[in-house]
Amino acid sequence: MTVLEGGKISGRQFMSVLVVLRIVPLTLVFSLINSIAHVQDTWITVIIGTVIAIPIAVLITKLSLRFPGKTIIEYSQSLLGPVMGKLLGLLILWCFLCTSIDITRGLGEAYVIAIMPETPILVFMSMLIFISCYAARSGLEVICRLGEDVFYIVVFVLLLTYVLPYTAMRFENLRPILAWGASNLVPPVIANLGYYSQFLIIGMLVPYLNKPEDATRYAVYAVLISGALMVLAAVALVAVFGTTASSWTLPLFSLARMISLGDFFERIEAGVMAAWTVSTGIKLALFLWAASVAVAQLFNLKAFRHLLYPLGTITVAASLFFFESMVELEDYLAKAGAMVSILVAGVTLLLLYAALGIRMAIHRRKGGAG
Amino acid sequence: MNIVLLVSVFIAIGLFEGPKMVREKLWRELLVFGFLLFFGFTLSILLTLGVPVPSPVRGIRSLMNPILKLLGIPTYYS
Repeated sequence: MTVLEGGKISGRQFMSVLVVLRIVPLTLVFSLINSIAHVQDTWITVIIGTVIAIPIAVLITKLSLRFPGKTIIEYSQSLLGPVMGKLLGLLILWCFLCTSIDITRGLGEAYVIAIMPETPILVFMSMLIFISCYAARSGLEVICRLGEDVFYIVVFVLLLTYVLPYTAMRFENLRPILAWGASNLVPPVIANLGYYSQFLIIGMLVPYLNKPEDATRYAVYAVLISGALMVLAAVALVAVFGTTASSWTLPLFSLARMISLGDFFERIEAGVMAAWTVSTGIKLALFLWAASVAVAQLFNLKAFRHLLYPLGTITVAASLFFFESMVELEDYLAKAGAMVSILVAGVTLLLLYAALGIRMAIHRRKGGAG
Repeated sequence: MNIVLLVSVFIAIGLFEGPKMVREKLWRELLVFGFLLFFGFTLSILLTLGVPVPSPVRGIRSLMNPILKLLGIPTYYS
């Protein structure tokens, strides 16, 4: 098989892009806080979701490490056979495309809602897609190097946004803790795990790591860092906004608007906008890259770069008719969309591990007989 | 006007990528590329002409809502 992507990425770049792809929904809509009935428990649900996400990330990484140099699309074909493997590959491809579509629409809506209500949403979406396709055409190495820089920028902006509204923070807003039982915790945990299921993309990245043995460690770091950033966001939002924290369309943007230091240090929300723009750009480039590599491997093509612009046009068109409004998009991302992501990731892992187990058992029996 | 713009964008993408593939004799790649581009073009034209395209999100919702209800998560869209 010809090597499609010649790039190599370091462990830290791998971790950075994973954190960035989990942080994008935090900088934009933060579905966790929107889907919970009583916001005081949000930070607990983030911790629960993060703890459950660690084994998911480890399972995907360990599976990929068993097939060095092969992406999840390739080894699902060698594990499940050509027909079932290709069907599973199509399902994974559909997930990659759906994620691209969701974030394209999310960014467009955020721009229209927050700053430029008169401009057609298509303008923002097509500009974003064009830039992301251009970045993805340059290959994985470029995306990941850019991703590492973006990671530092985003973390810096986020920490600034958490700390600076300290004058408005009332930590008694976080009480009572766990007063509404476990049923209050289920919806945000599902939303959180839905986003973490996008870590299925690890299966596309591990073959291009320069030291694949570090993959598990860095994947766990990525889950922990993104979890910590979300816990801090949940605490800051509830401390500042109290019970109204769940009613903001763009919570972090609104939080940054609260910042005003000594009458001159204001308009930090521009920083949050910069963070969401660059991080969405990286995430979109990564998912479009993964989708085009997946198409190329599913159809046994020798190159993937020329598929990016056509996939980009499909993404823009689909993001226009998939959702009617931002409210519908948020509801989908936190509920049905999250559930689909969890199911796809779960079914993929279950099928691949079952096939691996059966193959190993057969191999062992043959070895024992021989 | 919109349709002219749309067609010119798709022709530009075709002219940008197509000749290279023909020169390198990547016929299989050209076929997949053409199919994806045609799919994107069809969707865009339908949206420009105002034809209502059914959203797959509705199908996904109707499949997932029973599971969500089992977990006790309220659903507002169907």
